[in-house]
Amino acid sequence: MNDDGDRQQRFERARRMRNYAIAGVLLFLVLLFFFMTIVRLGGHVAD
Amino acid sequence: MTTAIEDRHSVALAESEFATVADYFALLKPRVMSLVLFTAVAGLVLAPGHVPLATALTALLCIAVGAGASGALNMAYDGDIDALMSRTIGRPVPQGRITAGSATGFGIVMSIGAVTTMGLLVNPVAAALLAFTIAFYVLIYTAWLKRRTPQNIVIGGLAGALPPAIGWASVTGSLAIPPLVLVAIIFLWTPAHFWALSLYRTSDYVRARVPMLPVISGKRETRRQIVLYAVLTVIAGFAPLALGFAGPVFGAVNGLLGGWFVVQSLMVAVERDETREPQARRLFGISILYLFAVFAAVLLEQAAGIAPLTPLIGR
Repeated sequence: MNDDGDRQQRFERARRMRNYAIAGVLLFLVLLFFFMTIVRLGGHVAD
Repeated sequence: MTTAIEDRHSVALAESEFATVADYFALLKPRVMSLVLFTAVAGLVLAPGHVPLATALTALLCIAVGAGASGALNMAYDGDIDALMSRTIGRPVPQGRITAGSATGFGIVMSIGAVTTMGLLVNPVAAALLAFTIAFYVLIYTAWLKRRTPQNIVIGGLAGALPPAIGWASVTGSLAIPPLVLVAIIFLWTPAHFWALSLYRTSDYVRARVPMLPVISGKRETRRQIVLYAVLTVIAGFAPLALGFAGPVFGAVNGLLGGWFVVQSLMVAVERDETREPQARRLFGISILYLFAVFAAVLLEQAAGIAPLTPLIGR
């Protein structure tokens, strides 16, 4: 019973860490595309 | 009675049975990725013209992610043979923490992401070269050549050699002779580097039935070929001087460390301790040092504004 509980906890922790990592990567990509768009538009950003 | 490999397998399984973020990071082959990135930077700074820093960093990110994706797809496909070799038994797929299917999905998503991002934010030529490199490593090297021919790492080495060309194309949107010369140096360097490894890991390759050169043609022929490729690498290393895109620092590094690389390969050729292969182990490390130093010289000359020597060819 205790082993099963431990196992479930470890599984949930591993899954949570993976979800954080995926969220981090997606956030980074959103920011990257945003900033690259600004860089590419350069001085025309407000046009 | 269990073998040492089986013991390591069961111990590692007991330590962790669920994939962690670190396992997915290991799928990216971070050490290979670092050398890929380093050679790509050399191609990028050598290229004429200018791109915004953000574009250059994005290109390097895409190259790093593309290299990592190749590593993940390679580990997904090779899980069966990785489980038979002591050097690779600890990887997440043979350990059972990541399934081959998950590693494949992870690799495909990252490949598509890296190539698409490169195409949208850098340029289509760099994206096409990156896609070709990933496809060559996964399909030509991993799935086709690796288990079929002792020339696997010779031909497959092209994938690992291309990053300087991708770096150059990220700036210029085209290819030219200088990045292709850098590609040739890495291409010719790869066999001596991996055959040194295969000399002291021969039993691994025999067990996994991977037809590396020592397994098929014997250690004597492998030693001969190592010397041949080491000499060819150093000769190719003088091409940037002859073509006028490298200066005295590059020449000195290639001459000195290249000479050392060749001498060490000759010592591998006369090695008598075929059990431990101490000289092959040394050559493996020296080969990495040589490549690192040669590409560091490219970066140093660019950063310090050291002028290239007068070209001997194409004046």
